[in-house]
Amino acid sequence: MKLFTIALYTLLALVALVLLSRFLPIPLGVYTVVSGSMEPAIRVLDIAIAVGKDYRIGDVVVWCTTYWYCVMHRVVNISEGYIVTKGDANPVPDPPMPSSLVKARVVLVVPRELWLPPVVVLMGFVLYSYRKVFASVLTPALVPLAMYIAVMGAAIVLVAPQTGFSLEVPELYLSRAYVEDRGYTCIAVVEYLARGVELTGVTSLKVFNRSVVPLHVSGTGIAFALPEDVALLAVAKGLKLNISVEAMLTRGGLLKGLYQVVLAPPKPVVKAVNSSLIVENPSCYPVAFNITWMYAEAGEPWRYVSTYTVVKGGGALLKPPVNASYIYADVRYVWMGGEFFERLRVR
Amino acid sequence: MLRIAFSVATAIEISTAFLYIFSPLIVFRGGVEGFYSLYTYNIVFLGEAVRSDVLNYTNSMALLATLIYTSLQVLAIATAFSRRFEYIELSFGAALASIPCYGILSGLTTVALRELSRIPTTSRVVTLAGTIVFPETQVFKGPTQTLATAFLIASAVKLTLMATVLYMQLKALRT
Repeated sequence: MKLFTIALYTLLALVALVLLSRFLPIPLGVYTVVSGSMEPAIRVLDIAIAVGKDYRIGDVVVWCTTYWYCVMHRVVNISEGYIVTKGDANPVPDPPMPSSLVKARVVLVVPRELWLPPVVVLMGFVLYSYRKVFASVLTPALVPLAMYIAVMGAAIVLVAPQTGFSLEVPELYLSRAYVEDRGYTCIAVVEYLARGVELTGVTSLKVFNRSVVPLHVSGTGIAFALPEDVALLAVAKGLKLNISVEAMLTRGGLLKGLYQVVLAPPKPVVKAVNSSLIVENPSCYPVAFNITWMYAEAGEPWRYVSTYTVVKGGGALLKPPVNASYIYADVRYVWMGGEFFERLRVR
Repeated sequence: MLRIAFSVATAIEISTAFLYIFSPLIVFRGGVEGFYSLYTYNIVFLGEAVRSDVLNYTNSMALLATLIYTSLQVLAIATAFSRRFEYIELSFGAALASIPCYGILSGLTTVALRELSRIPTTSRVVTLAGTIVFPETQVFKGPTQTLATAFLIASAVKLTLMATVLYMQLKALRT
């Protein structure tokens, strides 16, 4: 009988601890598992004991949004002030939660086979021992009411859920927007980081308010060829590319984005080799060169001829338009917002 | 006559209870489509079916509470016609189960509404990618609140009738 009393009081103390741990702001808790989201590591009706807030990626933690709504999942990511958890059996992680919601780290799991049978035996013994008291208290009027409350109370407590939605909220972020230099063609690319949503088509694509046709639209990116005149203007003035995108998304979504791309083309090189002018511009961004050729024979005055050329994706070998003993070339070009001038002796 | 009135009131109350759990509590239209009732739910969030342990729990608990309550009400009707005082007492006790049943259904409604409020219904999200617009969601409330009131009124009438039966039985016993 003494053993029974001790067992009964231990059980009552445990129940009190379970209830109190929900309300007290202490990193300690005893939880009954009611969903299979952590199987096979933690099964339904196992008891998990959680202590302390010292957790790392891979640990199982309990976080609670209310006193009664708690989730016991594994930590998969920790960032500043937020944690991401995921049930082992769940296909997707939970939404990021403030780390302040973490109640404690699970340190011990008591299998259901260990704790259920003794509790059932103990409860049966309690009912048997106090049968006379129960019989005197439960008058016929109270029997159905007490039964109803007992059954529903037990069901509500035992089956209380600990996981909420497995809802994939669509998220879309800009990963990067850049221009890929393919020598003769500039390909502008806009890449996204997407979760639960994808691009299905582009309804409007503009660079500096000029419509362009996409070359390729994938679930998470758009690529298009940069128009030559736009590239020439942007490089000459040193402008950032303004790309505006209107795209259709899966799940009935619509995206409107405006992105800026900083251009960093290599500076053109102009040199005179073997009575010719070589203009090197290896990038895909065209650069316009105004060349004034000055030429003269010995003892004669200088004469001038102007030519214009656009170079991109490599170099250009420019022969003087005239043949003379003395030839100079004044090369002028505008690049990244600055005017450049070089005078070269060609012959 | 009183006992027949009690039985009729109990039958009406049971019907109201079932209407309460079967009728939609909330109906979504737009980006979020579907409905939730205490019996079942079917919610699609931007094309993805919503699954929630909490909503499954409220459904199963509501159904369990209503079924046990119904069986107790059947017991109440069956024993109400007896002449034995103990049976009348039993009938009264069974009839009283509608009070916790109402409490449980109200509590489950609150839990379900709290869970449903976690479904994002904002249609416009601004991220580094720009402005993302999803179809707007309209939320309509179902007739559950009215049915809950009807359930309460039916319970009050039923319990008054049962109390009268009990009182008359007691009076008859004393005389």
